[in-house]
Amino acid sequence: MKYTDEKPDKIKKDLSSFKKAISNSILFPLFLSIIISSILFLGIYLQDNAKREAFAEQDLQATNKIFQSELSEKLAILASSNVFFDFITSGEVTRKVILPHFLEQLTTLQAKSITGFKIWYNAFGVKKDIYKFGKPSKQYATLKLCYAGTYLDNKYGSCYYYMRVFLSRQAVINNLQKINNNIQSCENCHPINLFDSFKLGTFIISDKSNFFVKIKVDEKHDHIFYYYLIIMIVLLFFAIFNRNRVHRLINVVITKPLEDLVNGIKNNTLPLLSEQALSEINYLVEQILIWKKQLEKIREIEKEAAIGQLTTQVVHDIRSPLSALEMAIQSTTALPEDIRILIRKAVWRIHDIANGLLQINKQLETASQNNQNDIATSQLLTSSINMIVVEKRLQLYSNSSIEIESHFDASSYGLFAKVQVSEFNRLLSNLINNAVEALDKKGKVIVSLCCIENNIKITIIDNGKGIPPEILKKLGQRGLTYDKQNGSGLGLHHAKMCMERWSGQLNITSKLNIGTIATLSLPKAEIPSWFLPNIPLSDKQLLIVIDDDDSIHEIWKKRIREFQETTSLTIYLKHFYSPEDLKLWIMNKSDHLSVKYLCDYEFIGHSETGFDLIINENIVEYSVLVTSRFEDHNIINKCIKEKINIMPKEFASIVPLIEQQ
Amino acid sequence: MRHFILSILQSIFFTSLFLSQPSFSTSENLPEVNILTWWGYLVSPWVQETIMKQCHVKISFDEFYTNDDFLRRFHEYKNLYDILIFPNMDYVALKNEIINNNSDIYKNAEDYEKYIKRNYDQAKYPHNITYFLISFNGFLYNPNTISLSKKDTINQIFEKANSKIVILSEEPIYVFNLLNLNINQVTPDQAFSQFAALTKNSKIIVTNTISDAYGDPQFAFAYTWPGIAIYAIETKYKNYRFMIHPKFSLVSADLLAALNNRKSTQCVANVMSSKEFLSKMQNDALYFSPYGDSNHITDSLLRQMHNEFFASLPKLKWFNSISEKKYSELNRAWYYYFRLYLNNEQSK
Repeated sequence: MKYTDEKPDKIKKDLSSFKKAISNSILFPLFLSIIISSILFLGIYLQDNAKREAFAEQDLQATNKIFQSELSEKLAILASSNVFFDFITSGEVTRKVILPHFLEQLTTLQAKSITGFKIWYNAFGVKKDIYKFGKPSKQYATLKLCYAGTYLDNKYGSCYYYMRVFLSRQAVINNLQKINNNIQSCENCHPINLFDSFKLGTFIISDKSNFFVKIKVDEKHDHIFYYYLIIMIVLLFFAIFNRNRVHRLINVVITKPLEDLVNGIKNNTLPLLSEQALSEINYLVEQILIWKKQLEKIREIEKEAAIGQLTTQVVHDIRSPLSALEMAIQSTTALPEDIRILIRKAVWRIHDIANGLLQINKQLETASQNNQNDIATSQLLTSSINMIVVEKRLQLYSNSSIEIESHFDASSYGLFAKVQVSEFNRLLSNLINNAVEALDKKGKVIVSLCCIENNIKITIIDNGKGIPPEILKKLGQRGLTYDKQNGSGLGLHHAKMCMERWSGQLNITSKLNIGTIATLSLPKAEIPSWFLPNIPLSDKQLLIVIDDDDSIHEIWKKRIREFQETTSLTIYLKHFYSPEDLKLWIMNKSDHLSVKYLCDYEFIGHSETGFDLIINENIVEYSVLVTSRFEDHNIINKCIKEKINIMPKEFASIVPLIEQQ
Repeated sequence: MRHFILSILQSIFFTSLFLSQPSFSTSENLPEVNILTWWGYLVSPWVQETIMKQCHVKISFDEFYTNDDFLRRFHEYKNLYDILIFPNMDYVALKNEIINNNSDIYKNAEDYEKYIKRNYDQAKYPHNITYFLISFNGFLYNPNTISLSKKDTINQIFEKANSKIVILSEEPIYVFNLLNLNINQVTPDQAFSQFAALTKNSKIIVTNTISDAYGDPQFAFAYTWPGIAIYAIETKYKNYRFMIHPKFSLVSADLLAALNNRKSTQCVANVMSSKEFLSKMQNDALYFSPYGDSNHITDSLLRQMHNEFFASLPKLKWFNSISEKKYSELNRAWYYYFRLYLNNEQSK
């Protein structure tokens, strides 16, 4: 009970920690960012502020300089005028006379900053007031009036006259503001002295008051700080809002349902599920059903694969006895010809059905390997031709008037050429189709394979209507077709191009009303190391056949008999039908005869394969694996690795047996 | 129109300002004698006091700084003036406007130094004109930068100055005197081209007054008056020397003209042309009294120069007066060519 009491508290504690962690993960980086950015901003702001203050100071000084320069320029114009000069260099009598002109000259000054003047002479120990007007003020500057002749010349002139200029503080500030509208009066700012040097433009100042004014240049960029503050507050508000939102979501989606569930379990009451929860459960159920269907589909595929495997096994089991039967029919003379033909056709039919099944299975397997077929590789042509012929026979099965035969003999065995399998099959298929179409619903097509001096010849012969010579010359040109309603003219062109690519040739000879012969010539490729080119036999050699199929044993018996008839060699033939029998024999064998094993790959009812048997009994050196699965890459690779030769079982009747000296 | 109204309003404003201020004139209700004079002559308080004491008038004086300035002011305000003090070279230009033989101030010339008296007589001035002060040009030079001799030709003097500072008078008449030209016959172009050739290497500064250029380390010499020289030597440049050159030191005189017969004018003119007044005036103006009297000279350098001058006087030439037309012609050329030339020189 103690455990169940503590559990909800623990969950609450864990959830609190979780929520706290979420909050921290939201708030902490934000606070950190705000602190770092604030420090950076403050640093930049202060630096910028210092620069702005320096700039403002320079701006203020520049404005003051402009003001002083303008004032000086006006005063210089005044002091350079004849009237002014005459006035100050005159005695009282003349001054009275020229006073109106002098005052008129003053009007041109138009300097509102000036409240009054005082002009006097001071030279050679004599000081003499000349004139004053206007209102004196506390702010003044006394300028030396230096003349060279009648010209104002502060450098080389004689400075006997002085002019004190009284200035209005407010008018000066107004003037400065007029020059620079960023200048503002300020109460608490540091006052600056406008008369900070003894120069006023080109004039030399001999005496001056301090002219402190409290002004500053308006710093327009101050509000950047407030912008930053607003952004930070918005960010903070957003983060807090987000944190609360996440909290609420956690409460609604996780905490509350969990607490309800825990409380329900604790109080033995089921929690009421919300509509949302129910829809989520429905969604999960639907998903589970979909997954179930997908699983069933996968199982179906696996099943199909198993059926394919079984089909292969069945075909393998059928083909061997059929070969034996076919050979028997060929050699027997006891049966009448029409019966022999009938039996032969029946055998072919069974053969074709079996091969057809195998073909379908192979197509399924090779569909996924199409990409590999794009590369020209060494192919056993007998196998490809056999497969296409079977396919054509199946296609024409309903038309018993057309026969397609394949003629293989010992010279047809073991012929490899470098071709792209899919291209080669299509090419051969097209040529057979052409031959069949030339038959006009009745006739025979014979496909044969032989080798003449490393040149493989595949001939497709039909006894159809033939091709006119003028057309024959042009066949193979792109777009040219003959006697086909929907022919594109690409078939023969494609065949020719492919043959050229494989260093081969396509030749077509024809005679009208007799027939056509299409010959494919290909260079013979090197026989792969795993392939058994022939079976060398020596005198008194023991040939052991291990196969669970009787018909194969019969084929070998016939072949050895015929071989012994044509040679003077004595060959002993021994037959085993299961791996166990062979193992027992090997265990007990005592003679020293030369032994060669012809071992099947699959044994019905045995998990041990012929390959395993060869390896386990350590008879690699003397063994050949005789199997219809000679195109299985796994088996090939294993045999290459163990240096075991393979012989296609379907060619047991034609594999060359040669006399070994 | 608007500008015109504004000008009137401003004039009214400033006039009212002026009227509201007390002027600096004295409250004494004495007659005034208005004088146009060279700058610096009459500023000393004793002048006003002496005249007031002897004539019971108050003087008011306007100062001019150049000949050109004098002529301009004279023509502009001539009716205002009672007495003129001006260079003798301008006499020809003005004589028709200032002749008044009803005055008796010419009698003061009887006591002039004999060479000066001779020159005064030769000039045949009217009765209202006397000499005021006598002066001459000489070379004030810095012996640290240049060494001058009375035997130097003008070319040698400028060669010695080379690229250093040379100060010349603002008066073209005096400057052209250096070229040894007949002022009344030379054309401005001829005068200027000779001047340019003479001064081509030197830095020329033109001023009639003491300026900082005298203190420049590159200062070579100034072709100026003894008053400037004495003031410069005694106040700032004690090692400087002043040389009277027998060929290029020309005597010039300031004339005093009483322009009307008013008693006050005649009185003041008599006082100001008297031996006693001018002997005393020598100490202020640093020029020489035509009476040749050195008893009142207090300054030793002035006395020494006075003695040297009067010793040399028989050999020195006098500036002749020229016509106003010639003066104007030369003056215009001066301001046109010479100012232009100086601007180019100064921008080197």
